[in-house]
Amino acid sequence: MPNLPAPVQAYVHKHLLAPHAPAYLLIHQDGRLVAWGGELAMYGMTDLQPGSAVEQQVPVLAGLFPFDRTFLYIPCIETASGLFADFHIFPADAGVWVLLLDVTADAVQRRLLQQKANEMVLLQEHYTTIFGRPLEQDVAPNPVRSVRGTMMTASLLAQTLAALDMVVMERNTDGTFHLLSTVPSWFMRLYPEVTTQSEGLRPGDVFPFLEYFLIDAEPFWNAQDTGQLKSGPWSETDQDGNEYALEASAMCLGQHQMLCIAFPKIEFAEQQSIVQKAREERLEHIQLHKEIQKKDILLHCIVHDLGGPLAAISSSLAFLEDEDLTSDGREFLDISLRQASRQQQLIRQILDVFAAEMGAIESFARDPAHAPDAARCVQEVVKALSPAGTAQGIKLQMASSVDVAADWQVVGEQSRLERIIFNLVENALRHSPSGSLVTVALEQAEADVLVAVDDQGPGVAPDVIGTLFEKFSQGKGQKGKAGLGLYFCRITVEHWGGAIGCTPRQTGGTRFWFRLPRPTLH
Amino acid sequence: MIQKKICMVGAFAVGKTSLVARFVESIFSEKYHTTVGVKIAKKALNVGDQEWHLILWDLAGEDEFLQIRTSYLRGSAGYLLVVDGTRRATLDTAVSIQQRIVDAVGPIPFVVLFNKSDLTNEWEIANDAFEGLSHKGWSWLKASAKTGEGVDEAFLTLIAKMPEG
Repeated sequence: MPNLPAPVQAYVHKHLLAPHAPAYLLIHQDGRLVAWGGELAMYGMTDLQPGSAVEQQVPVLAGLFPFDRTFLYIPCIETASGLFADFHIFPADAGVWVLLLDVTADAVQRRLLQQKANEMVLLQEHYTTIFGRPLEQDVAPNPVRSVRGTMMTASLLAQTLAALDMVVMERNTDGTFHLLSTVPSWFMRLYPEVTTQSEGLRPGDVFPFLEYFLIDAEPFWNAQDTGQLKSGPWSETDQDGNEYALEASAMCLGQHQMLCIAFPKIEFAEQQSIVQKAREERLEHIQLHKEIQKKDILLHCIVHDLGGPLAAISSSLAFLEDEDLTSDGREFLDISLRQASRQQQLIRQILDVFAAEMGAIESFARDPAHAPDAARCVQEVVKALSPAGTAQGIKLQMASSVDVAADWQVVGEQSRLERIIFNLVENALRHSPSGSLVTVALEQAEADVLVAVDDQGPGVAPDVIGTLFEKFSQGKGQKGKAGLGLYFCRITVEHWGGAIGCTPRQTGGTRFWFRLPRPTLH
Repeated sequence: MIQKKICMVGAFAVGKTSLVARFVESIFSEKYHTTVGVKIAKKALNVGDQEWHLILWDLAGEDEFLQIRTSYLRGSAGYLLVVDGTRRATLDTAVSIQQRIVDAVGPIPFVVLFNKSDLTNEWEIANDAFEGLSHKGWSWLKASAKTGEGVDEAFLTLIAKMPEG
């Protein structure tokens, strides 16, 4: 520097050149290394050999020799040590000189600025995705501070995402990820590496769940689909045993492939609470059902055991009928036989209900070859109960309009069908006044058959009509027995695909009815 | 070292999470805590002279509210099909899930695990059900996450069915 005074040269060397760690290489035109010096070690060039091909030791120089230019400047090259250097290459008589100057500080600054700018764009796009409107709508324009204001907004957004418990990463071309958002504390506990590393991340290695989600996400990213691909919730546990319910989503923002990991505490807690509650109630219901079944079985056993001695009592009483009794004795015998018979009916009803509930009536006919004839069943019941009706002064009859020769087949099983009709007729007789009429009618429809028992009693009180077919339900006056007869009728008819009910008659009294489908050939 | 992914599947409240907790941490809690999504746990163990690292995917149980995502089974080396021995219906659910898994990811090794074997008074699975499973060629065993009985054995049975490669 002949034109510069020595103090200036010294200043330039000390303050402008030396901080950039100058180093040099002298290279022959054929590419062999001739000499070197300066701060080469800082650039990771420590094992240089004279006469060796320089491109093997400094790859950035490959292909440049023989050097045919007057000057070449290659800026900001990352060297083996990680420092960034500007390469100044120029020929001279002794060979080609390569001057290296450290520009790491500038490179880092440039990269930060570039990253900030990229983040700003990405976060603006992400803001739009999240809030459904462009960021510009929410940020008042400020021409004077536009650049600074925008940078602050990007930073604010990064922090906002963290506050929303969301981690945002961008996928690199090599499959690794770099962070775009500020990292929330919970994420640091699950993925401690992110406290010191924001690039080259492989979240699939840390979270096995993500490993598989990323396989699904790759074609999604490659297709540049709009919308987002969600992983569904999964849980991770940190070293202290704290559990975090997370959800990942993949999305494309322009050319950028984004991975978001959210920690939706409140939404997850709500979802879990709802499912937990529903399932607990379901479990309680199952448990309750089991308890009821156990009690039913116990009841069945008790009732069944009661029936055994009663049968012996009835038989013994029947033998007494042949004995020479006084008129009082015969009256007492009649009372005993009647009560024993009622008791046996009650036991049979309870056992019928139990059998129906336990599914013992699974077997029933749906085909014409085995389906019962409703008219014949009605005839049998009328015949069986007419004496009882006569004893009460009630006339029991089948409706005269019924053509018994017609097809009255219905889905069901004969003995159970007779039991249903028996219960309905017996119920009518019990609630009918002396001198009244009970009529059993049958009506045909295209798909089913209606059986109706009409009485001339006082009718069913409106407040019990809704529960009349429930278990242990009894009409007013407590004229029923165990409150199981109508219940048995309902569950059996419904089991066969029919319906049952009662309606008041316009002329007074009540109609108890049920419908059963006709049998079909298939 | 062999690393494998194993899934826990079954109806809700059959004890999948409890089985994992028993197997991994040797703990048990009576309280039912529903799983939402997937819960990941890891367990290292030696089988013979091989070291196995299992990544256990505890999938949320199935009911009318939630159906398991069979895609979660992809990459899985095997799965435990968990049944609550005190709820007969959970066996039907397990059979249904197994079919869907086969449809989704093909036939991969599995073992049917009848949990809650300690609740003998409430047991609802009849012997003919076990015979039916054996007839189908399915491996099954009883276990209790509460007592620990049969739990390790279940995982070891599954490991024995999985290829080492």
